[in-house]
Amino acid sequence: MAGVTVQSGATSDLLTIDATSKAFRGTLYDTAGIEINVTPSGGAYTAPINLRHTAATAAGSKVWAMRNGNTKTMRIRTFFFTLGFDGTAIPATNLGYSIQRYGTGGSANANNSLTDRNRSAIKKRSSYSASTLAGGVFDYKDDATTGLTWTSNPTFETDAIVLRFPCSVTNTVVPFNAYFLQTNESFSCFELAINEGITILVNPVAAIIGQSLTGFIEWDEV
Amino acid sequence: MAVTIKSGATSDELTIDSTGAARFTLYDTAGNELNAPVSGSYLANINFRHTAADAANSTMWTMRNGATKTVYIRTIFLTTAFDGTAAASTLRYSVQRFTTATPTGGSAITIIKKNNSFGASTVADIRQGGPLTTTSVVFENDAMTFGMPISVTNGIIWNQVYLDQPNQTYANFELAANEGLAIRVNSAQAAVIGWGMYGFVEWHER
Repeated sequence: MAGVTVQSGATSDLLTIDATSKAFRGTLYDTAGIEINVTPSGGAYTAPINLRHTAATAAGSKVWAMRNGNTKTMRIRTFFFTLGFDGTAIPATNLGYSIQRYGTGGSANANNSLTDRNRSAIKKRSSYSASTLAGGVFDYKDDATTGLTWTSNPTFETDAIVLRFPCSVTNTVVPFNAYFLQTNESFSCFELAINEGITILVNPVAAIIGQSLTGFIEWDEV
Repeated sequence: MAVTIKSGATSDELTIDSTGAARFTLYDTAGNELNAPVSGSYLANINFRHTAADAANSTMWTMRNGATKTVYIRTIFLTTAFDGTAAASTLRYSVQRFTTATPTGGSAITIIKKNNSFGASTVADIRQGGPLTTTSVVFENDAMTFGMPISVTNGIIWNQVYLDQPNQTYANFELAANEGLAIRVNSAQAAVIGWGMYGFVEWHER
């Protein structure tokens, strides 16, 4: 008997069997009807982190920030950081940073001492459109006792992530790699909804000259 | 009565394996096959130690894709180490995509097939050392930065960047035809004698 075709109950689309594999095409969904492993409609991007304090940036100062635009969700997959210290050791002291999400209502000023070439998001595929990042850029500042200035103060959430390392001896270096995204679990990304942002702030004490945070952030836009 | 299932697009019929399981292939709703087969999977080593204070923005390692396939960078495993004279400084490498021209100088790197039955890599040029000559090369901005303090000698840090996830080919860092990947001394500072980078880059091609 000739094979039967399988038709969607919702449309007139027919199931496809591929020629070589003789396998049918399937897409994974959860029971809520959400596609698992959706390919980002926007694209996939990275932004470098390249902070080395040349001044004693005050505790609580925001030193790196990026804010989502108003059309897509940003799904942060990875925080890949290296904490470092090459300055003069201070006994009984921990240095560090915190990471906070912030809401609508303000964004950091473009206010850093380095050339613009380090401020744009990088496409992981060059044919993607430009990132949805507000202004297409992130901002950072590591060369003053104050951090980024803000056009108006958004609401900052409490610390999502805390990074700490001792400086009682110089030359501390600590890797911190957070891979949020797991196979079939898009929900596990750290998400920035429309107009939300993420910032890195000096915490718990003022930065010390020689304190550094390098690495990158990686995200998808859907 | 058993029936066979036929494609709605062609005359192909579904295969049920002897285990009783139907074959299926994962696609996304845009019609992209997830985990599409690759033409090959490869490694290339990173192995360079500065013997001079190479200037900021010096290019130390590059690979440039050929014209026919896409290169999907899965892993960058970059160990940085320092055996020189300590200084109150943090040295940084940057990873950047480039286009337009192929760097020269240094030494060619032998690409290793992860499976010897794969064909030769499509990568047209891969080299390290120097600094490399980068006439007419156009670099994008930094995609990643890897730092290490050198206030005490004998430091080392492993940077293991895993970009790939199953069913998420889009997560790789891609080099389209004729694009390249470079590891460079960051713009923030010059290199210091005794600083080095070691490890490998891993990629698929299709």
